[in-house]
Formats: sequence, C-alpha cells, structure tokens
Amino acid sequence: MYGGGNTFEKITATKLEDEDPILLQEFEEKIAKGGKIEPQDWMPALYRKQLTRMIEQHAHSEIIGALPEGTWITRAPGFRRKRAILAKVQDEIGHAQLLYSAAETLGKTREAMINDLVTGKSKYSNIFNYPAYTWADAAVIAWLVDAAAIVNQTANAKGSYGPYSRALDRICIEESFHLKYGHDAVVYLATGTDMQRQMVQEALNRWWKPLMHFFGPPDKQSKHTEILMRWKVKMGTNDEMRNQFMDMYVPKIWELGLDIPDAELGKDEETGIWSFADPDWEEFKRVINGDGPLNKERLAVRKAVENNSEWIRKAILSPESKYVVPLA
Amino acid sequence: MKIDSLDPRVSRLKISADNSDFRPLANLDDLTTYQVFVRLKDKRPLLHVGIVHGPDLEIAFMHAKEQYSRRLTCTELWVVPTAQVICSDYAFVGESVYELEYSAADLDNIELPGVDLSNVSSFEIFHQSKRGVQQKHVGSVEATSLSGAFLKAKEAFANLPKAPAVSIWLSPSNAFRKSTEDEKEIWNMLDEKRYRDAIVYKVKHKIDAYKEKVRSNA
Repeated sequence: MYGGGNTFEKITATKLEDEDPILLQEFEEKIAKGGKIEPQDWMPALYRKQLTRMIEQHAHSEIIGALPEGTWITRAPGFRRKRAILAKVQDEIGHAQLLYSAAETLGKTREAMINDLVTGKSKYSNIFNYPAYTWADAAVIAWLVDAAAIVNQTANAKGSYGPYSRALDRICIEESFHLKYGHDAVVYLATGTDMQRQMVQEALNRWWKPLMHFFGPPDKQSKHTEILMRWKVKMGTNDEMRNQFMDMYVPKIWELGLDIPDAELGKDEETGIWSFADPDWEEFKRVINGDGPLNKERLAVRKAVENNSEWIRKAILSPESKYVVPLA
Repeated sequence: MKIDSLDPRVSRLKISADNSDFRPLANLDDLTTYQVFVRLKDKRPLLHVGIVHGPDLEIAFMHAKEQYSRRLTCTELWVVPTAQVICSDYAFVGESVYELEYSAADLDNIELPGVDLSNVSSFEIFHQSKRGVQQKHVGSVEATSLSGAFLKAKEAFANLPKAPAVSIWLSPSNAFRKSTEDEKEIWNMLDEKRYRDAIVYKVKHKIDAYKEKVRSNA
C-alpha cells in the first residue's frame, strides 16, 4: 500500500526484448483474457510510451478541435443553435480534461503535454487545421467529424487501459448529443432552400478529403502494429475504421441528395469494402508536418491562452502545493 | 473588408502566428490533482468519475461540479486531494484485497500530507470490484489510524455479497469536500438543458418529407 501520488519510473527506452519475460507474459495473458491494465500495474515501457502518445494526441485534438467550432459561437444563426454549439464546445474542452487526466496516470505531467502541443512536438488530429468558412462547415464538422471520432472512440473504449477506457465511455455518451445535433443542423440546410443546399454541399466538398485523412493512411502490416493490436492499444486498422465510417454515413449523406466529391466511391457488396479515390496522402503528410492552412494560427491561439492566463495560475497557486499523480 | 482570420480571437486580440514568445509551463502551472466522486441518483453508491486540477479544495469542487455533473444526473458530489487518498496494491488473482498482508507499522508509516490524524475519527472506504471498473464507495469506518481503518474495513466489507474487491482506497472522512443538502439545488436546472440530450434532435420527418418532395418532382 502506498500514499496517494504514486510515482512511476521515468519513461525509459526499454526495448521489448529487454523486458522481464515473466512479467511480460503475465501482462499479455491478462489482456488476452479481456482484463484491463490499471496505472499501478506493471506494463512494458513500449506500452506506456505508445499509450501516452495516443491519449495525449487525443486530448490535444479535443482542445484544438474546439477552435473551428468555437469561432461559430458568436455567429450561430439563432439562440437555439447558439446554446447548443456553446454546450458542445464546452463538452470538447471537458473531454480534453478527461483525456489529459488519463494520460497523466501514465506519468507525463499536464504541463509537459501542453508544452509539447504548443511547440509542435506532439500532434493533434489533422482535420482541425482546416478553416470553417460558413455555418454549414460548422454543421458538417458537428455531424461527420464527430461521427468519425465516435467510430474511433467506441473501438478504443474496448482497449486494455482502464483509465482511457473509462474516459472514453463517458466521452461517447456525451458525443451522442453532438452527432444528433450536427445531423439536425445538416438536415435543416439540406432540406431547405436552394442556397442552403448549395452551402451544405460546398461545405461537404471542403471536408470530405480531410475526413478520409482522419483515420490515417492505409496500414502497413508491421510487427509494431501487430504488437499494439495484441496489447489492445490499437483496436482496429485505419482502413477498418474508415470503412466502418463510410458504411454508416455515406448512405446517410446520399439520402439527403448530397454528392460526395469522389467519382470512384463505391461499395463491393460481396466483401463489404468501400473503394475510394486517393485522397492525396501527400497533402496529409504536408499538413501533419505543419504546413496546413491553419496549423500556425491554431497553435498561436493556444499559446496566447497559456501566456494570458499565466498571472491567474500564479495568483491562485497555494505555496504548499505539490503535484500528485492521479490515481485512476 | 479584409479579415485576417475567421477566428475572432485572432483578429480582435491581434494574436501573432509566431510562437517565439511562448513561455513554457513550469511544474505546478497546471496546479495539483483532486479525485472526484459522484452519486448519480439517490440510493446509488458514489462512484469515482475522474480527477480535476485545482489550487485548493473549494475551487476543485467548483471545477468538479462543471466537469462531472454538467451532463448526467447528480445528487451528490465529493472531492478529495489525491495526496490524501491511500490506495492498496492489487489482490492476487481470485482473492480479495483484504487477504493482502499489511503490518500495522507499515500502514501507519504511510504519509498523508496535510492530514492531522489527531483530528481524524473516520475513514471513507472505496472498493474496485475488478480492474477496469470505477472505485465505488462502500461506506465509512470509525478509526483514528490507517491500520485501524484497514482492519475495520476488513471486518465490515470483506464479506460483501458479490465479487471480492481487488483494490481499495481509504481516505480520512474530513479530507473531503462533500456537497451539502442545500447545495443539491445546483442540479435542479439540469432538466432545463435538454438541448444537450441526443434524444431531442428528431430529423426523420424532415428527411421523409424531403424524399417525398424529390419523388413527386421526378
């Protein structure tokens, strides 16, 4: 038994082959039987490192993801939509808090994560580097970007790490509202006047490629992927997740009479696999490496928030405070 | 009119896109951590829902109220500094956490920073029934030391029906900020915010009407 604030050894670069074989075997058996790993349990360094990276990126995506929609709070058409998008953006920030907490249980402090975000060392979802030009963009984001995120999150909630699974269960419950609210906003435009239909069609044209990028490039079958799948860090391949998204949402887009800007899009009814045109993976790489339409602006806003709130952090900090790693 | 950005923060605050003056956060810039427990409905046990960061217990409580009782129902909220929660090791497979052998001296040597044991008369006890699920409040025991609390918890809760606990948390009862009876009204207006519920968004009739219109125009 130990006091609150158990500490972990530093993240060392223990190679998988140098891990204690008995502990590793117990760890793998626990996962194979469907058991969860908790912060106090032994885990291989590679597991800790990959999970930290994954949860941290997810958390960053929530706070940066709130920015394109946040710009529409002041301009939302009507009170009904304004309070709904306000509540949605508040949820996203709450999700970031839940996810940062889960990552902290693995030993990385929140300050270190924010620093890595602002300096560009750690990534967030590429899709939030694109601008939301019109209200229809905000509607498409709320419906389809959240739908894509739910596909990923529902799968990851079945992963092996207790704190991450618990955070995702909560997030998925909250996001069901985002999805329905987004669908409602898109349906309103798509069944409205010709100009409204045109607006939503143009927004869909802008977001389709980033949506295909959202799930990541096609998987290369590597030893690494295989280990992460065995440890239930990764719960499906990028292609499987993308296919599931298309299977669920392409028909819902089509039933509104909207066109998806991909002439090669189609489903093989026998295999259940969707084919689609190359969504320009070169662009994906460029944007992830910092050269997207809004990468700099997104990080600049985050930087300004941290710099401008520095005096508050200093003013409220109690001199006796000590950082304590969360327990679960 | 030319606007610099779609983001009003950027155009009005004149935020520069250059990151060079970012002052990296230092240790404690994001304050410290508190554990949060929520009772969703009367007669249900309090469940651990996560953590918040804060400078002190009262602000952590306010933050926890926003973070964890904003969306679902809630009738009670507890917050406690992480440093004042003692967490056990995990039980061996198939056994109860109470079968772990701890000597009284070992337990009483554990530090509880910020706690004056001479003021403590009871401890709150939480069980985790298996890895992956939340810690659940099972009750409190009268004790003035950790070893006493562990023994009393063993007497009171080791034989609860259902699966044995695989880990327990103990924390002095007076370390918590607990919502009071009067504060329950914090959650009264949850019902007025139904626009945050997926169920209020109904679109099927609009889609059907649209399809009908397309069909009749064809």
